[in-house]
Amino acid sequence: MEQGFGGYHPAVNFIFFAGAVLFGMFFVHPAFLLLSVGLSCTSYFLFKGRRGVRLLLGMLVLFAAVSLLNPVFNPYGETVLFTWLWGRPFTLEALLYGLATGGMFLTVILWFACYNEIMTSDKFTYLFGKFVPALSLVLCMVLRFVPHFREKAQTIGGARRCIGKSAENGTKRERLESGMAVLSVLTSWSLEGAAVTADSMKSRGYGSGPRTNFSIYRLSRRDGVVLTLLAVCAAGLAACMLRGGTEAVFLPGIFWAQGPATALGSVFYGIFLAVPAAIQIGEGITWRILRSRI
Amino acid sequence: MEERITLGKKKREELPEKRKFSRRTVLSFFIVLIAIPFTIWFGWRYGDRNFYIVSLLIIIYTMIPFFLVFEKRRPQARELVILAVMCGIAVASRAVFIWLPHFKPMTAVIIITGIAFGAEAGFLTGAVSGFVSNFIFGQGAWTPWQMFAFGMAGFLAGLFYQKGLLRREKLPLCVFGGVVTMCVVGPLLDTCALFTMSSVITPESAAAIYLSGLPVNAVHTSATVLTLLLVSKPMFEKLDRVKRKYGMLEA
Repeated sequence: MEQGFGGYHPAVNFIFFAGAVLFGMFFVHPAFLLLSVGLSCTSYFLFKGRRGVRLLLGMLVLFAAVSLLNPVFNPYGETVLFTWLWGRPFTLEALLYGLATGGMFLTVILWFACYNEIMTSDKFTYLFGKFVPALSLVLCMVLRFVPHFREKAQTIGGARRCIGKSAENGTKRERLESGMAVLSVLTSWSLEGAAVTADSMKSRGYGSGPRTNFSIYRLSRRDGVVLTLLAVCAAGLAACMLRGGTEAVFLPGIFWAQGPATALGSVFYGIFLAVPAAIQIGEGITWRILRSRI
Repeated sequence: MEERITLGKKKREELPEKRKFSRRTVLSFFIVLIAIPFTIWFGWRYGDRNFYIVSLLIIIYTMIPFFLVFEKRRPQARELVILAVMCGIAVASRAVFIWLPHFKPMTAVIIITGIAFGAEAGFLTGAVSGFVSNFIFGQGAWTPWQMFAFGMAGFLAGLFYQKGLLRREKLPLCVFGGVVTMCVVGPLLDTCALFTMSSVITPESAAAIYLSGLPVNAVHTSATVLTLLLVSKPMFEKLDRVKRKYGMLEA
């Protein structure tokens, strides 16, 4: 059984990530960006532990590159910091806009990194199997075929090595041709298998009725609570957005919305994004208490 | 040459032609006339840097009709398995050339599928392969773009072959594969990078991204052309043979 946020119903996981990524791509207001960058870093660290630090550091470098390169290509803005090459201006507004773009880039990448930790392919096929049964079956089969075909390719390579046609030595051209031969053999072998699989599926009655799903997921009360919380926060955030609380303009001059709509909106946004981190931390604390009682 | 393989041909003929056409048209009209303008308006009204998210949503919208039409057709087991096998080969083909950095034969396999099984199967193979390969390399905001780009490669191959603009010969195939990879797949993926990484799109920022993408696209193109050159003939022979031996894909 999965622990923490990953142990919740796949719908909860998917809705959270869809929301986090969509909002993350949408808001350039600095308060909202700071919230999403901070909480996405925290969540990623909580999901991944110490191993996550390397990616975080790498992403910081990318963030710096995106932030600093953007003003180079963006000559607009009122406050000129300095001019460079052929009198091109490097403006404060463009720099801030670049920082916002870099932050957006960082946060979307990190939310997706969290998504990759939590939303395994079985959860995805479980969620979408009802809407697109045929395609999700194809998806399932492909996910099985990929490692299977890799093994097959290795077997074919081994057999070819025995007859002195190894793909490991020889000129580049020979190795390339040898690789193509493996690809070609793989195709005929797999297609042969496909014919058998399809006949077997048909004789077992595929397509004769609606497909049922095996699933180990159940929508429990805590999932309902979290879903309601997410929905309330998203609705509140949308209301604040319609009132202009998330407005931010960088060019030509800087305007960032302030006031109650912004404050309330960032509270909703913060609660929405803090859900996985709170669940992770809460579960960690419960576990510690339980252990200390033993 | 005439015995071109078409997935689910019978199924398609069974349906009354008019109804199927109208359902697809209605959906496309809805997407083109309502969903896309609304998304653009909404992004323009409430968001800054709206091209980022708006482009992503539009890419997703354009793929929906393909998937829905496929589902509505209630495809047979054979169709599903063949599709899955071609996707599996497209994704796993990378592993065969692991010693050659950046050599990805995926686009070539997708083009071959599109020609052999038709435009729709080509699109689906491309899109599903793009999706699945990201389960290995990590999903991201680029996933829909990749699905669309690879799907288009398969779709265009099928379409051009159907219209008689492309033949199953080495030279036209290689030219087609090269042009599609260099001018459709590569630029689409570069556009994704451009929208993701730049705060405003100026001619300079666009030029910087597209130029930095050129070497990657060139390697990708050469991989596609080489694969088509060396493997397309045996591949087509095999697909035809499976069809003859098992009577697949024509029933």
